[in-house]
This record gives sequence, structure tokens and C-alpha cells, in this order.
Amino acid sequence: MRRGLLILIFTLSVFVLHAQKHTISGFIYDQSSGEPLLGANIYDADTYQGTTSNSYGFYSLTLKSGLKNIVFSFVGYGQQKLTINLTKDTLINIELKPSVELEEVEIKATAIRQKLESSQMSVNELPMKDIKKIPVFFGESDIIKTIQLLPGVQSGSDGTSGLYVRGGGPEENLILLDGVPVYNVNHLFGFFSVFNTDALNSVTLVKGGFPARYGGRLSSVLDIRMKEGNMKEYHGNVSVGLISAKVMVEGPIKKDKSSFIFTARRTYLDLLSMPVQAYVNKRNGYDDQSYGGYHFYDLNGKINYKFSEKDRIYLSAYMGNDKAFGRNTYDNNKDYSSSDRFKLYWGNITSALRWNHLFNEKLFANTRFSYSRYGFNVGEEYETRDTSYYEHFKYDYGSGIDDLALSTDFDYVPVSSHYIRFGASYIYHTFRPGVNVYSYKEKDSGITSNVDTTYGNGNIYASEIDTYIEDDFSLGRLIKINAGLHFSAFAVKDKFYTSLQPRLSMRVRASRRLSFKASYASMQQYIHLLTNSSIGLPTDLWLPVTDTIKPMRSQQVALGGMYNFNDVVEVSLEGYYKWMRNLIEYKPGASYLVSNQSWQDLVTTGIGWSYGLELLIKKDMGKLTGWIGYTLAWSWRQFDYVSPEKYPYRYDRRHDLSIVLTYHLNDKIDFGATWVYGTGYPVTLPYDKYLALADYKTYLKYWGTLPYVDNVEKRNNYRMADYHRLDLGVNFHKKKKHGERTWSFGIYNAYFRQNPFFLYIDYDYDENYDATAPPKKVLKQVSLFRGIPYFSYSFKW
Amino acid sequence: MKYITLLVLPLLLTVSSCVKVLNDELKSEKIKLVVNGVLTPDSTLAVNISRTFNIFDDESVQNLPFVDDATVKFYQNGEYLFDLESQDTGYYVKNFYPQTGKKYFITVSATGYDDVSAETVVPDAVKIEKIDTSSTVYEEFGTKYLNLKADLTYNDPENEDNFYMLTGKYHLTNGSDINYEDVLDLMVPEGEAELFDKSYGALLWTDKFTNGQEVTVHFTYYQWYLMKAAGKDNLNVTFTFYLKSLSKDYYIYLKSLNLYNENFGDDPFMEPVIIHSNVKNGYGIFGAFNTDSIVIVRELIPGNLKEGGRP
Repeated sequence: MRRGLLILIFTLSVFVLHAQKHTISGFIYDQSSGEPLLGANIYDADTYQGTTSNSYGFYSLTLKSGLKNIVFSFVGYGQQKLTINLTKDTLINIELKPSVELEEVEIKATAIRQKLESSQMSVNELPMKDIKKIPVFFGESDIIKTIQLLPGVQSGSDGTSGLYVRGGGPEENLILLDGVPVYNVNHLFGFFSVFNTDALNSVTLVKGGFPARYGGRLSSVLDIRMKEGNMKEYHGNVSVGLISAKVMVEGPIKKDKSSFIFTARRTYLDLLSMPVQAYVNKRNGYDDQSYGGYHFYDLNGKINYKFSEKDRIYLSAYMGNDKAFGRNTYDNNKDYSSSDRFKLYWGNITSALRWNHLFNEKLFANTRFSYSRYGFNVGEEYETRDTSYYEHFKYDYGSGIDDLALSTDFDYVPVSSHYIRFGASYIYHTFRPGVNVYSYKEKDSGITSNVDTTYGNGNIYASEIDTYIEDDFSLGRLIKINAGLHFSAFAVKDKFYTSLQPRLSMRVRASRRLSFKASYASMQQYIHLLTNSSIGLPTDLWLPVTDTIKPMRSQQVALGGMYNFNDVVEVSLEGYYKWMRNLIEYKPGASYLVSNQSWQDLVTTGIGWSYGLELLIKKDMGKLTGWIGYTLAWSWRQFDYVSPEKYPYRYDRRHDLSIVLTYHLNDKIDFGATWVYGTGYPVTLPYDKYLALADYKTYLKYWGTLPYVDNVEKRNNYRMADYHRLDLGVNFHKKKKHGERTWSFGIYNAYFRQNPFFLYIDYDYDENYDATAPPKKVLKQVSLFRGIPYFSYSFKW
Repeated sequence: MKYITLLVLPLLLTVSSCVKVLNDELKSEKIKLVVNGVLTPDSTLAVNISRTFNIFDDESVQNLPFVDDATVKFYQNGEYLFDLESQDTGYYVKNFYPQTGKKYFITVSATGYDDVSAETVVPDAVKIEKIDTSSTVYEEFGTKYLNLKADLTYNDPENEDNFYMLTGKYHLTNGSDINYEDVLDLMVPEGEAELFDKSYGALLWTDKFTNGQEVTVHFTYYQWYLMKAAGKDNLNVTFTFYLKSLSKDYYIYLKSLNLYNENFGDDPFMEPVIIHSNVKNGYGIFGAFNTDSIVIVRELIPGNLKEGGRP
């Protein structure tokens, strides 16, 4: 390890030897909105030395002195060429103009070339405007659902927002909204994600070869950036869909200095159902009233202010909640009344205050103070009374996690061949593993009994420190390397864990059109998600490592190649192998919400490994765009407590194919189609049954039956049917006097495929059921969501 | 959890669900023999031999799974002793009392099945040092009930893993027309339940936290008929408590069976419980236990329980 450090330090210091050079630096913005452009290209047209802008639009390019032709370009924008005589360090802020279709050809070709050049692999970027063209569940465009269509990513149960990246679990994804972790991304038990696409600027998924700046999770990083808000003029968007309505407004607070963006979304089925419920209640009579409802909402807000060319602050916040409730009241207006209320709430809050500071033309810093909270609460309250009797029962359970974090990240670009990033962060975690409040009061004929108790696991506090350094550097024109180290430490109670994680990825350019890439990443994760379910239940509980439950660790190697076909189609093929240790799982039969037992005793640890091949063929330009993603993968688990043998992971899927196409007919109409196919997931089913230990003679004599138990020989021993689904959509756009309206229509699961959601064994009571024959058991499959149509209307100005 | 399942499942099923019957047969590779037998020095040998059933097979009494034509060979400390004799209902018996500390091994062969085998060691009994009981009477909705508590003390043997089960029974009589016997339901107070793998009915626990210590188990015991009887005639009641020292496999089997019964059919998303077995090439349990018991006699008078003598 020491030798590796020396090599890294030596490499980093190479730039000191360079001389007679000057730096061009600045920010790149969208000309129409003032939004920073992330990942834009800046290069010397003569030497092709170049760089890309960072997450805040900052770039820095150091070149030899002299007359330079500098090109600034970004996908979807017209490129700009500047000729400058570079005799001193120069600050140039550039605004690029959104392009018309013809101009895009050259620029998108540049984007493919940029991917060829990059030392990073296993990275997918999703342009937001493409996401909105893809047909989706209930018409709610959803970044998580779109990411599920990429190779290397499995989707979990039908219709849900689970992300299973390269054989890892959903808890192993670091999902960042403006750099702040979001712990639960599920609305409506996972059928929708919490991210409103109207508020988002960019989405990047990293599946392997993790740069050192990322840490804390094993399997992926989903880096989601919100828009900053239009600096030039006011714009907005309203849309009404089948289940929700949303609004977005953005604009300058002070032109070119400060801007804001605000979005809100809410489902409204509960509001529509209220009059129906009121009518039913009225018909039932006013003494018996029942109401129930469910809704979710989310709000995104962000403001930013440019103090100077060198300083800018951002304040952003997200808040989202899901609420389900039910209540029943009965009152005979004489001597008896009762009420019963049930509630289930969960939601996230994230907020971040960030400060960008440009120390000089080579050193950029971002400092962030953030707060993230996830909370879940379920409860019931019951009350009944008559003339002599009174009973009151209340139950409440809450759990969650809070993070307070401070971090500073530096981008240092000493020369064009080195891009150095370093930084540190501190997170103060508060884990709230669950508190039950139970109270019971009864008064009967003058005798009172009273129970009022709070029990459960107390809060757990933990500190996490991360530091990193990485350098993205070139060795000649053929080889580019990103090498780095990530160090993390975690303190919880009296336990202290540390980890030094080396990261390396490299690109070797074989030709103008072909690159080969390789990477290695070691990752460590200090927080676990306790989940026992295949759907996104809000009861899933985040908990820290302990004395006995060690940090999860992974190592991943990946090899791949990328080919550029005529600057139009990119083809990438990657193979990976990932080892995972200290994974946790509930012991079979361990139950949720058991507060009288330590959670550590409910789980067992094991190992996992996964490997596979991923093929992506992607076309970003022309009338027909989209991608074909294919994954051939294996994912295994071995938990000695569960089974002495290895068994396939619950989301082991041998073949996974996604075809995503959008067709731009003209400015008025575009079409989208998605077809997905995946091998059926494995589930555990009993194949036979046998007698449990008992006195069988007594059983037969008194009950006439025997005590059978289902026999499960192996975990995940049965493959459900293959999954496939076609979604179709069409968007009709029309320019109006004050903006553009869009009608969207589509259908999810267009050919009504009955995809398996879960299986169970039950008696067969179909129409041919013979009541005289012995009852017969059969295997039954539950399917959801067949042929779900959608429509939505939106207007943007 | 049940709340959530209750909420989520109807929601999902009403959105757009459909249930269809799959015609898959779920065929096991083989039908296997099942051995169920527990040895104890207090009883003669009895082992039951049956076979596995396909999950969809008829469970009625017309289709019993017992195997009555097997050969069951019995070994003690590696030495062949005898074959067990077939009775009805799959039982194989012998007038032989297993001995404490001995290792027993059986092999079972039957036409059409792979041979199976299993072994177990009869553990030492752990002596009950004392039992302290107390009783109170409380009234609910005009009926009087008995609240019975006990503290049972034993010394856990050092340097070995011990596995315990505590059960109880009672015998109620007025000397003439009432003569009733049944098992007792035991229950550990809520705050101490986490020390147990089963904290109600028959209690199960290990010496994980108490190895080599003097241990006192606090529990209440009750039975509906007995509690109701507290308000009636003078009765004599005899309580017997059994502290059973179990072989490890038998303990794990009971623990997994308990988990299985608690979770059966509860949640379609939950991983099913795999029931422990120590039968090689087959299923079931071949275990052993050794018991110490203690008897308490009480005189039950209406509204109270009079302390009686220990026989």
C-alpha cells in the first residue's frame, strides 16, 4: 500500500515540472436559462487537449502559451469556438445556446468521442429530456424506472423502484440528490420514486470503477442533480396525469445573479374519493362514518446566488411524504360510541447549503452543509364507551435515520493532463431503530386498569468520516488513468472501524474508434438496511454496524471495450466480477417490529458474489434514438445460517434485455416504446411436506389429521416465469400563444402479460372444484398491472 | 408487519391483480424417509418412520405417510444392539431404556427409499434445585381468576452447551366427580422474554448467557379450566414441572419448528423457515432428552389457593 501511495504522489507531482503554461478557466452555462452545464467539453482544437466541466459547470484547462482555438461544446447545444492569444491565466465564462436538430449531429458525435476518451467505465448518463419521452407506469416519468432499463441494473418486483446493481441489494446504492443521500426513494410502497423529473438537471449512474470521491456504499452511485433555476426569465410547467398533478416554476430573483426553482407534486385520488366516501357514509346514516385515504406529495425548492465570479451559494431542499389513514366512528347518539383510527406515514427531508468558491483558475472548492432525514410512523387508536364502560387503546411505532453532514470537495487542475480531486466529509448519523408507544386504559364498573408504556431500541449515534484523493491523468495519448484512495472511518458506541479503499480505472485507446477500459474498486459500507421484503416497504430499517455486525465490503473488477460506429452509435461491452462480504439478511422467520429482541439477533451475515457481461448499444441522434441493453449475469449468496450451500440471490437474473426506442416524427409528435425481457426470479417454494414430531395416534384419534410441515430443501429453488412487457407511448406537442402544451397517451404492459409478482400454494377452488374429492393444493401466481393505460396533459411556458 | 401486509396486499391486489393457477408439479428429486423419535431414559424406545409427500398430495387419512415395512437397526456407542419392531402407525418400538451419556445411532432402510441414519447422545439431567411459587386472585368482569407465578432454580453445568425446555402439567380432583389432567401454559414475563427462544407454552432456552451459573427462571403458568375452577368447590391440584435437558439437534429442531408455526402463511414476501433435521439422507429428528421434575400439591378453595405440602 505504501508503494502505491508513493507512485500516486509521484504522479501527482509531475505537473510541477511543466512550465510556460497558462490556464483558461471559468464556468459554462446554458445561454437561455443560465443553468450550469455539467460534463461539457472544452478542448484545444489543434492538439485535442481538453477537459470537461464539473458538477457546477466549472472547467480549467492549462495549455502552452500562444494562439489557441478553444472549442466549447455540450450535447444538445451549439458549440462555440474562441480564438485567444494565451499569454496569461484567463477567466472565460461561456454561455452555450441550445441547438437545433441538425447542429446536434456534430455535438453528439463529440459526446461519444468523449466517452471513448474517458478513463471511467461502468457509467451511464441519462439526459432528462429523453427520460420524458419514454412510456412509463401511470404516465409518471421516473428516473429510477428508466435506470432499471440499463444493463447491469435489475428492477426487483414488477412495477417497483428497487435498484439491484450488478448483484447488489437496494441498500448498496448511494442515491444522492444534490450530493445529499436519500435513504428511502419509494412513494406508494415502491411503485413510484420520490424524484420529480421536472426538478432535475442530470442523472448519472456509476456501477463500477468508482472514483475515489464516492464512498459509503457497495454497488452503485446514483448522482442526481437538481436544476438551479432559470437566471434569465420565468418559466414553468404544469401537468395533470392519471394519478398526480405537478407544477414547476423557475426564474431569476435578480437576473444573472440569483434564481430559484420550485416544484410540487401530489396524488389526488384521495381527494376525488372523498365525495364518494361522504355519499356512502350519508347512505349508511350519520351514526356510522368511515373514511380512508392515501396520498403522497413531494416538494423541491432551490435558490442560488452569485456573489461574484468566484463565489456562489446554493440552498436546496426536498421534502416528500406518503400518508395513508383510515378512521371509523360510530355514535348512536344515546349511550354508545366508538372510534378507530389508523395511520401510516413515511417520508424524507433533505436540505443542503452549498458554497462554491474559486480560489484561483486551477482550484475550485465546494463546501456543503446538509441535513437528511427519513422517518416512518405507524399507529392505531381505538376508543369505545358506553354508560358504564370505557376503553382506550393506542399504539404508535416510529423509526428512521437522520444525518447531519459537512463536506468540502476540491477540484484542482494543475495541467491539462491531470485533474485532481480531493476532499473530506463528516457525517453525524442518528439511527432511530424503532420505538413503540403502547397505552391501554379501561374502566369497567368502577374498576380501572391502565397501561402506558414506551419500549423499543434507543437512538444510536454514529460518526462517519471520509477523505479521498484522486487524479485523472494521461500517460501519453493512448492511456488515461484515474487512480485514487478513499479512506473512511466509522465510530459507533465504543466501536471504531476504518478502511482504506484503493480505486483504479484506466482507458487504453486502441484506435480512433475503439477504447479498452479496466477498473478495480474496493468499497466499504457502514450502514445496513434491514429488509425482509421484495417490495419497498417503509418498515425497512437503516442500522449501523455493531460489534458483531461488521461493515459490508466489496471488491469489483471490470474489463470492457467501447466502439464508436460512425459517430452515431456507441457500443460498449463490459464484464465484471464482484465479491461482497458481511452482507446481512433476516434469519428465516425473524419478524419485523420485534422490539424486545436486539436486531442483531434477528439477522445473519454471509457472503455474495456476482459476475456478468453487459452490452449497451446506444444511438443518441437522428429521428430514432434509444438503446438496447443486454445483461448476462449470475449472482450468488452464501449464508451458513440459511443454507450450507450457495444459492442464487433473490434477484439473480440470467438474461435481461431492454429495448428502449423513441421516434421523433416531427415537432408535433414523438413516439416511445419499451420492451423488457428478463429471466424469472428465483423464489423459495416447498416441494414436499412431511410429519413434524408428534404423537400421531393421538392426532388421528382426536383430530383425524396429521401435523404436516412444508419442506424447503434449498433457498430460491424455483424460478418464476420469465418477465416481459411492452410499453407504448405517444406525445402530441402544440405551440400555443404563451407556451407549449403536450398530451401524452400510453399503455403499460400493452399485451397484458401476466408477469409473476409472487407465488403461493393454496387449495384449488376454481369453477371445477369437486367438493366431494379430497381438497387439492396447487401453485398460484399473483400478477399485477396488465394493460394499464395512462394519459397526461402538460403545459410549459 | 401485519399492519403493513394488511394495507399493502389489498392495495396491490385491487390495483390490477390477477391470480392464476400454475400447472407446475414441483416435483422433488426423491421421496425420502422421515425419522421422528426422541430418546429418554424414562421411556422405552419408540421411533416413527414415515415418508415425504409431494406438496400437492392428499393430506387426508386415506393417504397416510407411514412406512411400516422398514428395517430399523439400533446401535449404542457404535455397537449394534437390535432391530426395532414394527407396530402400527409407523411406530417401531423395543422394550429398552436408553441410558444417560450414551451415543445412539439408527439406520433405517425400506424398499424404494434411500437408507437414512441419525445419531444422538442422551444428555445428563439437570436437577431442579428449588421452586418457589406464589398465587394471587384477581377479578375480571365479575369472575375470579388465579394468577400463578413460579421461580424455578437450577445450576447450569459448566464447560458444556446446555439446551433446556420447561413444561408443566396439572391434575385437578375433588376426590369424587372431578378428575382432570392437562398441560400447563407457561409464560415468561415480557422483560425477560429476550433470553428465551420460546417464551410461552413450553419454554425453550440455552445457557448462552448463563453458562455455569445458578439460574432462576421466572414464569407464570395458567390454564383456562384451572383459572375458572378457582371460583368453585374445594379442589386438590397437583402441579408437576419438568426441566428437560435436550440434545442440541432436538433443541434446534424445536426452535425451528416453533418459528415455522409462528410464521406459516403469514406473508408471501417472507422467506420460509427451513426446519432443522439431523437425519442423514432424510428428514425429521432423532433427538434425546433427560428430565428432572418437581411436584407441588395445592388445595384450591373458592377464591384462593391454599399452600399445600411438597410430597
